[in-house]
Amino acid sequence: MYQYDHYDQAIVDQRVAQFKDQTQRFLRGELSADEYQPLRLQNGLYIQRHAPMLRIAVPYGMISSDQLRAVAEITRKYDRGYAHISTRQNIQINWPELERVPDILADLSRVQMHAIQTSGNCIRNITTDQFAGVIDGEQLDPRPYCEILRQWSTLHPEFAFLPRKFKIAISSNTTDRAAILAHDVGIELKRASKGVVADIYVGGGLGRTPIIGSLLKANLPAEDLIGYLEAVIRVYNQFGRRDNKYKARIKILAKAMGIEAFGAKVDVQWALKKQSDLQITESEVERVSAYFSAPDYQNFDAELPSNLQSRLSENRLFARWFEKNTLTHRQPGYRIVNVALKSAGIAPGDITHTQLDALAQLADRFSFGELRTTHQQNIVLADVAQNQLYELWLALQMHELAAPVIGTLHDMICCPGGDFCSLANAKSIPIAQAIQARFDDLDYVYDLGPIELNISGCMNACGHHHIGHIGILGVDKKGREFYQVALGGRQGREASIGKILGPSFGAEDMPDVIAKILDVYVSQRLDEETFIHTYDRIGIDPFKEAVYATSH
Amino acid sequence: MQHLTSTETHTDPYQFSVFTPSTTEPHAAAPGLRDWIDADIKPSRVTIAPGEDFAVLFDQLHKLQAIEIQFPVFTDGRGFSTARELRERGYTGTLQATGAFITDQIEYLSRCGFNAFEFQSASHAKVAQVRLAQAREVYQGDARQPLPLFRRRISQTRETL
Ligand code: HEM
Ligand code: SF4
Repeated sequence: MYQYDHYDQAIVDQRVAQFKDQTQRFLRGELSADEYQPLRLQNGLYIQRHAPMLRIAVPYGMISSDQLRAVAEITRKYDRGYAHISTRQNIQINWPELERVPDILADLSRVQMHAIQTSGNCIRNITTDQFAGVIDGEQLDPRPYCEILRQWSTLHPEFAFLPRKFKIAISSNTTDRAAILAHDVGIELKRASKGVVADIYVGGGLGRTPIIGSLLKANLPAEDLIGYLEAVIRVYNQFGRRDNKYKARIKILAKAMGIEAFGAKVDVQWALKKQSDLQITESEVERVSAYFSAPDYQNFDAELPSNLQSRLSENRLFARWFEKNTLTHRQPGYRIVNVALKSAGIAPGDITHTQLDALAQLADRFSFGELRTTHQQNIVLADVAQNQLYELWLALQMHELAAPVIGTLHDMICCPGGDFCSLANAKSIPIAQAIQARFDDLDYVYDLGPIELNISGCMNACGHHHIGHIGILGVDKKGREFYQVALGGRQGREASIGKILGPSFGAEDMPDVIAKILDVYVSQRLDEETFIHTYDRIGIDPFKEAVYATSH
Repeated sequence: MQHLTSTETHTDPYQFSVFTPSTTEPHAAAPGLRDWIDADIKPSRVTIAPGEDFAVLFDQLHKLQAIEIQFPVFTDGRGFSTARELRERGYTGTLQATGAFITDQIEYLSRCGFNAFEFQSASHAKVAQVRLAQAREVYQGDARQPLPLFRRRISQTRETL
């Protein structure tokens, strides 16, 4: 993965010193709360329900074992011994003291980490496919471009006070795992005869007004990415609404202007930037790409080794985990391993300091010292030799990190909700836990096949409820917590927004409601049909009838 | 009011100069863009408020001596884009930030091409002056240093990292 040189380090160190100064001036009363707010947000520091929350950047999800250990240490030293993986691949800690945040940032900078632009109205952490570089179906490794754009967007002088936050995702695979159509800008990288080119999608996003992104420019030469993005964001900065924060995202502007008119304005700016020093040089692409070259793989057969085969046939638990949590690797003899942070009784995406340390050690032993965070709020060990899988699994089991639930009903996305977040209408974590507890029979869960269930505690949609096959949204009804259910949403290339089932439910009814929905699926499905395909075939009505039949 | 103005005249719009604070009386405010458009004899100064379409100025930039860009609240970042676009279009005169920007924005402002700032107090001007004198490493090219870091980086070999 990318390593800082003295330039990168200097930039982060300057920011640490600057933020320390800003925080001290705030604490001395020299900087007002209003002035301090955007400055702290640009450094990942929220003030939420109980305490500040600090969001640590994990650029495009890549994190080294040393960095993970540093995060574990930070949760012990400054927080409550656990961290949370966010849906944008970052790491959050929920209980730091404001006074000590500058020290946390200093600790992070020692392992080439920071919290720059993890919140605030600026360009946020750029996300990508968690399997970049190791999965089939990829046209090229997107990570060198992610890094080049990370550097460009970091402390950009023009774009630090945008109308609203700005999120970019990049994919370069036939399967889009980065949700590029649900981002302010989505970039699809492709190989063409003239080199790498990019399709630029604009104006996707969830939140109050979920919109799927539209194609703005096809086949942009990749060396023009910086100049073109500057043109797009300048148009947004100048014309995006600033009078109403719920209408301030680029999706609203692109819809209001129409994609054509928006594109025409972009082209005016783009003409100023074409053929300028903004063009990404070949030598820079080479320099950065070198950090993402393949690790020293051993030469193995693609075949499963015989000892692995016998383990698989002897040990049902291991076999389940192998089937659910590991994936075919591009390199023969290796597999991609997903570590699900979805064990019963913990908030989805939460991980303790001992688990963080354990994973760091396992990454060193089995996966070249690197890990990835995922948008499903899990962690990936991307390069595990097949003949070491059993050993790895035993170790994961010891640390309760072997839940064999990837892609199942248990693998929910869930925002912090009312337990932590001051914007929440309702709690979300207890709903996730109640559903997991209700469906604790894993054989039933496996039989259900792939299901994405996403929960948000309010319209801001941090839990991506719009694009879950089953989406749950916390709503407030006269001061009481209720939940609205939607069906049929999905992410990826066929991204679409779920349809609302009907009137909302109380928290205590939610496990039953989900059970009824799943019963309809099980009774109506044909052969191997998945939940979402059955939904597509039969529509929402049978679900409606089943769910509202008895509760009325 | 305090003014902090670049003392050097510069030919290259992306050259930034040393600032010295002065305590002169505020000069008469530059006319607003509407008034400028309506004037028969075009004044050499003009003020742009956020949201105003300043395209009418593009073919007059060489005749303008000073453009003031207003910040009604410091979180309204439109002025950053306005400044940078004017510089990209070749404007080389004085570019002054006025209004509610804060000293914590001073580096970004200067990097976007502002070379004059109007402050509410001498202490703010002083803080800003100190900030601007500090050398910083940055990734992007800007008004002070036109080349992005990737065109300036003297690569170390990977072994020495
Ligand atoms: C607890 C503190 C949090 C606060 C105060 C907060 C606040 C918000 C707000 C206000 C929005 C809506 C922005 C808009 O519509 O423009 C939003 C969106 C979002 N948040 Fe959070 N959030 C928090 C935690 C999280 C966490 C823990 C995650 C990840 C699990 C997360 C992921 C997201 C995502 C993915 C969106 C995307 C919606 C979009 O881009 O359209 N947030 N958040
Ligand atoms: S969806 Fe709402 S409740 Fe959940 S974290 Fe986001 S803002 Fe808070």
